[in-house]
Amino acid sequence: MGILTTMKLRRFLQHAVILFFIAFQVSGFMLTMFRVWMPFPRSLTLFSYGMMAPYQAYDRYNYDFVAEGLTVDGTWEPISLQPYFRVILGEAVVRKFKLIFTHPDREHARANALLISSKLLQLERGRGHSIKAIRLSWQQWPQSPQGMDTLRQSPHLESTLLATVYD
Amino acid sequence: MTKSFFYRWDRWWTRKDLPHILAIFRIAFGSFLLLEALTYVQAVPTLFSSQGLVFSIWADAFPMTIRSLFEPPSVAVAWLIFSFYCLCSVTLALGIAMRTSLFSLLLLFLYYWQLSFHDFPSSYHRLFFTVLLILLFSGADKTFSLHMRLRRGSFFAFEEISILPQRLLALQITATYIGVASQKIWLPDWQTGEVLIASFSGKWATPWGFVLTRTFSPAVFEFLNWIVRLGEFFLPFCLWNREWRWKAIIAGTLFHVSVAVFMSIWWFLVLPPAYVLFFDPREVHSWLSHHLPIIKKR
Repeated sequence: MGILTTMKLRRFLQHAVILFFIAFQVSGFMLTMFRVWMPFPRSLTLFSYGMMAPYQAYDRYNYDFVAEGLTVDGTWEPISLQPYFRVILGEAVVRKFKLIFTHPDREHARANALLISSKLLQLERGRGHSIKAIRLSWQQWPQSPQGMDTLRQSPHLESTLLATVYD
Repeated sequence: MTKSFFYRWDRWWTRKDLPHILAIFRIAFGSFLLLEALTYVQAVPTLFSSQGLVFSIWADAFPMTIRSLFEPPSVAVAWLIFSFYCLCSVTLALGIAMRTSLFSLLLLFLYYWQLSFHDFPSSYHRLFFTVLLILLFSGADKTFSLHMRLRRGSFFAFEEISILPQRLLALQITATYIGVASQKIWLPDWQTGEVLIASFSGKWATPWGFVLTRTFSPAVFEFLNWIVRLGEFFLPFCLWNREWRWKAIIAGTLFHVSVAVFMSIWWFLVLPPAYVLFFDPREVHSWLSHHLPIIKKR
């Protein structure tokens, strides 16, 4: 009797998992295709949607953030961010974008940039760079079949200062 | 009729069957996780420790006493955690302490998400998390494993397992392909070949991608866009179809290799090995035992 009950429970659980999994996929699909929320936990719907939603759009521009440090003689010199993003270019660009623009809100971006600049100042000093301040700018420029940085120059380059942090 | 439907439904989803397909997938997936982790070796100090531009998104939600668990650790601790992740990937592939490895990997996925990968959210990491969760409840270590070597004396010994995890994984892959392809019918950016031109000359483009955009006219990319959309949509249906399966495997592999070569988005290369999940376990076992007679012995 005990074994029978266990078997029935096991089979019930198996079919509950199957139905739940199908509902999980359907909820993700409905959001993906029709922007319709099914009566299913929102976080799970978003997770399922996330698996169906790679590469929905493309960028018309290339972008990057650049950091400069104020040296003791009063000049601004570029700081290489490469050591902080030792990953392939696409991932590095996405990470930089997300670090600044976690929300599509200009003020939020500036707050993030301040936080990143402060941390960068602290880290650069730890690496032995005697700098008095850090400033962070966001750059964007059009794409070109000739190369990623081909049009990263005037008059195509747009640069926006996001934050300056002094010691 | 109804009884027959339920019988077939039940049998298709939950019958006991041979474990070789899930074991092959376990080995491939564990190896892939290790490979992916190794691409981050250089980045461990700056992506996963306090020596980088790393900000936890969960730490503030916890009381002070346990907050430090979520905050960026020292470089030494980051290396320890990273090494443990690699070890778990190896033990998963080898099929020893599989459940412990999978459970640890799930926790580590969450840890790395809140620490670093929230800045690089990706479909494939969600897919990997789902795979880990399904494998946790599977018998993927019931052959081709050190577990069976220790328990039954042979790496090739096997026991029947529930086919349910194999079906769930195959369904997930199917749903991912169908979802990804279907929305491209209406997504504004996928209506012309411009999306491919931009993709092959943007942040993801490899030098080979740039060569493509310089070499071919927009009409070629228009045509390629149709191929991609139709191919992605029909691929999962063909994977389920016995007659079309091998053609779909070749097409899917070519597609994902092309994406990796021209756009450096290589993580979806985990999918071609996963196509094995669409085969019948007995068919694969029969093929394996024909080529590796040792597999016939239990």
